[in-house]
Amino acid sequence: MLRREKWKLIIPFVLPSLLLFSVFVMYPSIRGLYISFFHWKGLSKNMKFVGFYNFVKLWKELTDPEDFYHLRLYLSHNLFLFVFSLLTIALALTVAYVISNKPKGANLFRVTYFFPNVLSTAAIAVLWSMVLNPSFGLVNNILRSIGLEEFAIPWLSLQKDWPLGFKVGLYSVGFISMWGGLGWYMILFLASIQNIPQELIEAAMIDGATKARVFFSVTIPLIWETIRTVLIFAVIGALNQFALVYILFEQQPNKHSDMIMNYYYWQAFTQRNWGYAAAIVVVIFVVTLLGSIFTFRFMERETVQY
Amino acid sequence: MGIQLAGSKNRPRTWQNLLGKVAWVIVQVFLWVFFISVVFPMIWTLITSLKTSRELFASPWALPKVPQWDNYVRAWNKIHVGTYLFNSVKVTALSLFFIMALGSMLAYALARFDFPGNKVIYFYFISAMMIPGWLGYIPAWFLLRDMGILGTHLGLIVMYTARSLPFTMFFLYAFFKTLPKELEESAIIDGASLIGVYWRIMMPLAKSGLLTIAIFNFLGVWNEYFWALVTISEDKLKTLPLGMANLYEIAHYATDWGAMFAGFIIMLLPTFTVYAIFQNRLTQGITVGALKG
Repeated sequence: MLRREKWKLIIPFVLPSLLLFSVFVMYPSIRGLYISFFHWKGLSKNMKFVGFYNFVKLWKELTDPEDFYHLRLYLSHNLFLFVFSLLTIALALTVAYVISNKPKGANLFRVTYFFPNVLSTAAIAVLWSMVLNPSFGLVNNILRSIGLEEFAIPWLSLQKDWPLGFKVGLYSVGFISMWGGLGWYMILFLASIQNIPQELIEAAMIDGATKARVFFSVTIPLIWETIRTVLIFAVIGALNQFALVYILFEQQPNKHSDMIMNYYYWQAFTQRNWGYAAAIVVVIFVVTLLGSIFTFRFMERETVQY
Repeated sequence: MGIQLAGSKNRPRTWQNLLGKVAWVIVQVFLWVFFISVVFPMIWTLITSLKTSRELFASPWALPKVPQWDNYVRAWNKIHVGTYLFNSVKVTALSLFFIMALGSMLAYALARFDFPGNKVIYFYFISAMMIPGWLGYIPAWFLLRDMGILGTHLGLIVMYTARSLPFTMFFLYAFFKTLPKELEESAIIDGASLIGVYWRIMMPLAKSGLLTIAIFNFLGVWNEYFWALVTISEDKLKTLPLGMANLYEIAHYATDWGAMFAGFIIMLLPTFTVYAIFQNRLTQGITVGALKG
C-alpha cells in the first residue's frame, strides 16, 4: 500500500493516545513506585531518599505486638470480606446453574440480579444506609411489623460485637458487597455454562444422573477456568475495597470498619505522607499479584476439553 | 461413570430425592429473596421520596397522603442535586467523546496496519491493565497540581480519558481485527483516502462494538468516585457520586429525609435509564471483556 499515506494516518491516530496515556497513566504509575523509596511529606517538593525505610516501617507497624496502627485489624477486615465473596461466588454459581435451566422468570432474575452492578458504590452505600437505618429503615420496619421487634437492631453499628469479634456493621458490609457483586459473578458463570455443549448434559441425564449430580460432575469441571478467573477477581476486589466502608461509616477513619485501602487513603490524602502511602500500595500490588498467581497455581487442574 | 450411574438408577433413591427436593426449595427461596432485595428497596425509596418526614416515621407502610413533590424541588435546590447532575453530565459527555475518538483511532491503527513498533505499543497499553490505579494516584495528583488543573473538571476528564484508553483499545482491537482486509483494499482502489476508510467503512462496521464499549465507559466514568474525591473540593464542581456520598450526611443534619429520598431517585434515574435500554448488551459485553481477556 502507499507507504507515505499509511504513516499520515498512523501518526495522528496513535500519537495523541500514546502521549496522553504515557503522561497521565504510565508516568504516574512508575513514579508511584519510585516515590515509595523516599521520605516525602506535606506539599513541599523535598524528597529524601530512604531506601527501603518505608517498607521496613510498614513491616514494623504490621508486626507491632500492640497493633497500634490497627494494620492487622484492617487486614482481617479484608480477609473477612474475601470470605464473604467466596460465599457470594458459591451462591452466584448455584443461581447461574438454576437460571441456565431456564425456569419460569429466568430472564427477570438475570436482569434484576445484575442491576446492582451498574450502580455506583456511593449509590449502593446510600441506598443501604437508608434501608438499614435503625428507626425508619426498611429492614427494621419489616422486622417490627412481623413481630420480631427484638431483632430490629442498628445494623450499621460499629459497637456491638458479632461472632468472630467483628462488629455488626462489618457483617452488613459483607452482605451489601454480596448484594452488589452477586449479579456480576452470576453473569460470568451463566455465560460459561451456556457454552457447554448440550450433548454432554443430555448424555449424563440419559445415564440417570440427577440435576445435582450433573452440576457437580459435569458443569463444575467444565467451567473450572471461569471459577479460577472469578476467584482472582475476588482476591483483587477484597484487597481493593475502599469506597463502600468509607461512605457507609460517615467518611471518617474507624478502626472497626476500615480496610487496608482506607489506611492508604488516610496516610496519603489526609496525612500527606506520600512516600509511606506509596509503599503501602506497592506492597498491596505485590500481594495481589502473588495472591492471584497462587490462586491460579493452586487451582491448576487438567483442563477439560470439549 | 455411565455404568455406575445406570446401575444406581435401580436402587431406591428416596434419600437422594428428599435431599434434592430440600435443596430445590432452598434455592427457590433464595432466588426470590434476592430478587425482592433488589426490587423492594427501589420501590420503597420511590414511594418514600413522596412522603413527609413525619409520615416516614409514623406510617412506614402507608402510601403518602398527599404526594410531596416539593421534596424533589428541595433536593434539586437545597441539596444541589441539579448542580451535581449537570457536572456529571458535562464530565461524562466530554470524557466519553475523547475516550471513543482516541480509543477507536488507536485500535484501528494498531489492528489494521503493520508498522514497526505496532506490537510494542499494543503491549505497552495492555500492560497498564495489570497495574492498579492506586499506584499512580499520588504522582498524578501532583502532576495535575503543577499543571494547574487539579480540582477542575478538566483534571477529571484528562484522567478518565487516559485511564480508559487501554481497555477501550483492547476491546475494539479485537473487533477491527475480524474485519476482512479486502474491504480497505477495494475502497482504496475506488479512490477513498485512508481516513475516509476509517470513518465511512470501519466505524460503521464496528458500530456494535463501539456502542458496547461506550456503555462500559459511560458507567465507569459516571460512577467514578476515588479520583473525584481526592481532587474536587469545591462543592459546585462535585460530580454525582460525591454528591451522593454526602446525601445521607446532609439529610441527617437538616433532618430533611424526604429531600434525601427524592435526591437519591433523581441521581439514580440516568443509570436506571441506561440499564433499562442496554441491559442485554451490557451483560453480553461483560462476558467478552472478562473471560476472553
